[in-house]
Amino acid sequence: MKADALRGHLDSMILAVLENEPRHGYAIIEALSVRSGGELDLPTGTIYPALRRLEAAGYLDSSWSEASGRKRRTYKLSRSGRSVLAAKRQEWADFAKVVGGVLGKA
Amino acid sequence: MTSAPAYASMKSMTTATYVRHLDAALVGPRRVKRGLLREVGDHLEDATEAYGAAGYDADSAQDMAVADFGTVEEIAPSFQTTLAVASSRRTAWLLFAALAIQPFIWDGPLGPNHPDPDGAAYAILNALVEVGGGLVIATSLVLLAATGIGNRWFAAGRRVARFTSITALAATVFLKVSGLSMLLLSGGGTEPILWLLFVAFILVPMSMAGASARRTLATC
Repeated sequence: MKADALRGHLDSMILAVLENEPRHGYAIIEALSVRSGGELDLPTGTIYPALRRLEAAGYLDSSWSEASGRKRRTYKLSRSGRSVLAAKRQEWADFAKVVGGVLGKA
Repeated sequence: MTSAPAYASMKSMTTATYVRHLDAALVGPRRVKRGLLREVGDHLEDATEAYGAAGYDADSAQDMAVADFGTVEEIAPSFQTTLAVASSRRTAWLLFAALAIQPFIWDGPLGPNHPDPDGAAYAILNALVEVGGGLVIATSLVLLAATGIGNRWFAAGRRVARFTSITALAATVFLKVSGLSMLLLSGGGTEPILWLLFVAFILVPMSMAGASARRTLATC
């Protein structure tokens, strides 16, 4: 799959991996890699500006916490983040239905 | 994860060295930069540990963690944009705060109760300051929104940061000059209390906003 097509949905994918639990940056990258089957291939450092942007937009909340003797910045979905994730899921489902409907038949 | 051959061509670099190089490549608000670099350091430590747990030796694990992260040349631009936006947000706040107090100082109960003089020059300056000041307050609120909740619709980047700093620089120069002119035109130049108010509520806050604007421009 074209990497650029995946990267265009990075924001939504970040929100999705944070749906069930707060995570720090590395854990987010790992979750993205696992859930994309390794297809999401981008420099892992690019996630941090995206996280800051999502936080500025009010979709994520972050806090510093101590884990294994290290201070880590952990991110979790805000209420707005949950709403927009639900909206993005619906958008994607509608998109996939339309395109799949056209491409699905010869 | 990177495969061993993929990173082999990269110059070996410890994670601490990488963070130092990234630090040197970035300009921006100290607290925000420190937070970003701390996250980078944590990330690289986690990635190194993961490669170590997968059986790679310490040096290889570090090299692969750094290779996965991206070269400083690849990563620094997006980090710099984050810092530029953070700096512009601070500038917008300072500008808003510097202007929002003005009516309370000059027209409100805290005001010096100094009558406005007759004369076209003062009247024109007064009108310009009122309209201009109102526009700048509105602009700074829009810029604050753009760098915050506005990210929901478009990514506030260096163009917003540049616009914020240029607007702030122009506004602070204009307001300092017009404030001083109005003080002198009103005949208040001999009144120490008016000078004190001018310094405390125009010169100092506008200078702070102007300095922040220059720093923001440096981050763009």
